[in-house]
Amino acid sequence: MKAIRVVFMIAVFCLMSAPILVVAGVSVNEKKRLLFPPKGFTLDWYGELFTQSAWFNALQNSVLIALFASLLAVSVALPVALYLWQRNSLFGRLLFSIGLAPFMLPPVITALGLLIFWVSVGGSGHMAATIVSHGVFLVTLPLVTISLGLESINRQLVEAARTMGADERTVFFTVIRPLITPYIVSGFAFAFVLSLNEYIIAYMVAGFTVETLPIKIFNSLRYGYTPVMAAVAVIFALVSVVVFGLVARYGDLPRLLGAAAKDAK
Amino acid sequence: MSETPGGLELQNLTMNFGSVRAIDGIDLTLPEGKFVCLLGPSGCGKTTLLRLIAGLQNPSSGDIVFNGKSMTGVPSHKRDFGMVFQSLALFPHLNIAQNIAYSLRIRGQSAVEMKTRVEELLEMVHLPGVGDRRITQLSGGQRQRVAIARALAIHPRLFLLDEPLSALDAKLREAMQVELRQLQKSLGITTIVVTHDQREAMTMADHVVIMKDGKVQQYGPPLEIYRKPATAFVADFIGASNLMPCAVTDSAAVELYGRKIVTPDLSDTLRPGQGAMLSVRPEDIHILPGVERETNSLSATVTFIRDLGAQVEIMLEHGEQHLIATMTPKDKPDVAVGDVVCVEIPTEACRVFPA
Amino acid sequence: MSAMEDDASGTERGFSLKLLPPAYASVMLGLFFLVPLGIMLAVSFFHRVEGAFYEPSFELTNYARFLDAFFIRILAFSIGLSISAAVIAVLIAFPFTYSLTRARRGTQIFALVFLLAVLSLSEVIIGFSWSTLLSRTAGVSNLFVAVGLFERSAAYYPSLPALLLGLVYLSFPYTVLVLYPALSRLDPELSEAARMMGASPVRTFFTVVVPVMKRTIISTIILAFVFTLGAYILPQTLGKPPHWTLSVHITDQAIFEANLPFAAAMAILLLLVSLVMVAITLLMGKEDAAGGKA
Repeated sequence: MKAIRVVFMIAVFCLMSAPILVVAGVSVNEKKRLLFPPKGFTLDWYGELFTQSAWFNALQNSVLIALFASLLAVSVALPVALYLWQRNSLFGRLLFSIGLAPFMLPPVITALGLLIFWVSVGGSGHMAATIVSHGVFLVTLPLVTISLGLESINRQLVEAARTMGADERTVFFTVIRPLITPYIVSGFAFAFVLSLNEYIIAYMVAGFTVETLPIKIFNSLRYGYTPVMAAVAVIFALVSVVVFGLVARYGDLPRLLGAAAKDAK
Repeated sequence: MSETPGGLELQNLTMNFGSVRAIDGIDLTLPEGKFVCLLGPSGCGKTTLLRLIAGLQNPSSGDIVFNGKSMTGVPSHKRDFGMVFQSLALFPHLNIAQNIAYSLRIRGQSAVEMKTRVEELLEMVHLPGVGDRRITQLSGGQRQRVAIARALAIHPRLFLLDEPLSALDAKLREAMQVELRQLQKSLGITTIVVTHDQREAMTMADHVVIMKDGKVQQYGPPLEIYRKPATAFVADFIGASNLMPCAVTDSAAVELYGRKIVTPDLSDTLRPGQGAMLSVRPEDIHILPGVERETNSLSATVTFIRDLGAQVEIMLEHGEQHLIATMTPKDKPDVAVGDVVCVEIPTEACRVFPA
Repeated sequence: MSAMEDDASGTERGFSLKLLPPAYASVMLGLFFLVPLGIMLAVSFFHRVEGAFYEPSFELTNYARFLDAFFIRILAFSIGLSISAAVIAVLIAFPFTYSLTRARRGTQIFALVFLLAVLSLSEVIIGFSWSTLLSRTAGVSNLFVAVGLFERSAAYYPSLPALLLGLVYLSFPYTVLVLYPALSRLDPELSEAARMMGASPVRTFFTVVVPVMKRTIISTIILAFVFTLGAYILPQTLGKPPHWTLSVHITDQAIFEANLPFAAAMAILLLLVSLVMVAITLLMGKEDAAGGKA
């Protein structure tokens, strides 16, 4: 029985990694053709991402948007999570639900809403619009992680700090913030990786002027194949693995994803 | 111990979790039809031992022989044992009757057979007529009984319980201990219970296995273990003990803080000049006014008196050594905190262990 | 972060500054999430102007147009496709997640990192990867040829099975991560109790684990359904035009047909379907919390 389980898990793992492995193979083809197993070996296509201005531009856009959007997402998520934690009011819960909503709905809905919004107010086509849109769309991730972090804080710690003379500001900076920092960082990391990979909102809000890497890949896919897109896919997969690997290394990933605490048997 | 063929035999049983040795070479024979408690501090391996017997885990080495047959390679669902879990593990998606009948259904019994047996079992645990209810409609004590009935449904060959009463409040727990013991006696089923509560073990068990660090410290009837602890650990763990470092002087005496204490004959392993531990039960210590006698006494200062009504505890100090003496109120000596008194240590109360 | 400092320093000065950060968060969420949805709702009743975008009015034409057989078919196809993908994904993910929660902690962390990485992969990249894997020149069929199963390699896409496969791939990691908390909190003693009562591991799985988790399974299917309903790239890369889903048509109407009112009306319908589904799972969760735990 255990053997069957192991075989099943390995089979699923292989199936899940198959597309990425094939793309990794394709990305090192010497010729500009879609071949697997690869013929020859070259890393030139990875270099082209940085040397070809069209691709490098898209890379820059993606990283800038992801960076600022995830900062924005954290800045919105943190007060909402704190507000709900400090007073479990109806308004707090409402705010929390609205923060969760973008992720519960098909993203095309949010995307179209934002398209119409930016067209109406005149921000359509600007990178700032993409950043704000991603920032609000991705609030869910830091909101969930920070709330988990706050839940794990024993409220008596706050009361203890209060009796020792700390005001609300001091309590936040000396007790709460140090305890939830790992959760803030992982929320930021989740939002960053998802913003990098997000397509539909970036496309609808400013897709024709601010090309991100996913948009660039999809556009190139329409006009023919280039191994650079395979290289980008591999890099994106690696970035995700590294980021989530770091989150796992410095945080309790199973708990972050909702498993019971480590010591519970 | 008389060896019964129908019993359970553990042969050099060892269990490693990574580099941690949870069970360390246990050899033990448990007789048939008896109530055995596995007792020890948390982390001593008692639950692991029960899970090995149940077949929920496989030992790293050694063997478990039941009724003369090796259990190695027999999966838990083919052992026909009954088990009550710490969380009770009642199925939330089934009602009471379905929970109890689960093992009968697995064995393909007819609806009529199952119904009769379930009613019989509910009768046995004093819960007639609750079969249709959901688990959530029962109190903690009632769930406890359902879990017991469920484990006994198939007339198991061995009845295992993992800290079964730990979720109950103190009063209910005491009542359930008596009930469980009576039930086991009437069924005559070999029963193994894991507990960390020595009072529980003393109440229920025919035999107690004291465990520490994956090893058996002592095995025997509860009173024997209380009166004749085999090691300093057992003396301290079962009941309270005053443990005092001493030195062996001859075959029946030790030196304690410069005082001579005459003891019963010491075991051969204790040689004169060797360091040892003297253990005396608090209820065996006598407190007398005045200064110490020639032998078997020690002067000490009274530091605290705890009068609990039914029992009096007097705490004392001799230098760094703390002592405690207990007595009934009518035997309470006329002393006060700060008094220097004579602590008498009767010869027959002394037990000496290697340090 | 800077907003938070305002909050803390505000305590001494007064009550109003303390509420600044939550106020800022409310404004952000309101202005950039609720207001756009509101405008979209309004636009869905507007009148389309050929060549321009739209003009304010109140008409139901856009919703009426949806009742056209063509769009009804699209809706039915989208829902059918997403439900199929969701059910298949949960059928694989449930035993997988169950095994995962019983595996060593190190294995769990490894698998979680891997699944998170796959989950966060852009749909564009997933579409591209699968189209490569299913292509004639670089796909699995070359492997079959090498083994001698086939004479010549072939392309397996675009096709409906390819699209379904892609959607299952897309929703699988999501499904595992939704199931993971519930399954990792499932008391292992429940399974052990069944084993002690004579149930084989397979029987234990079907008579204890699955029934205890029934509600979780249903709500996971619903969540996976809503998740795949949002797929936008895969229908275009792995499927043929008849396989385009509502999400694709919404974008198509908005960007290429420049018919924002109609796109908005379709998005509102999609929103309603999703909200109803999510509400169902939330209600089931509540019931669970009320009476499920023994």
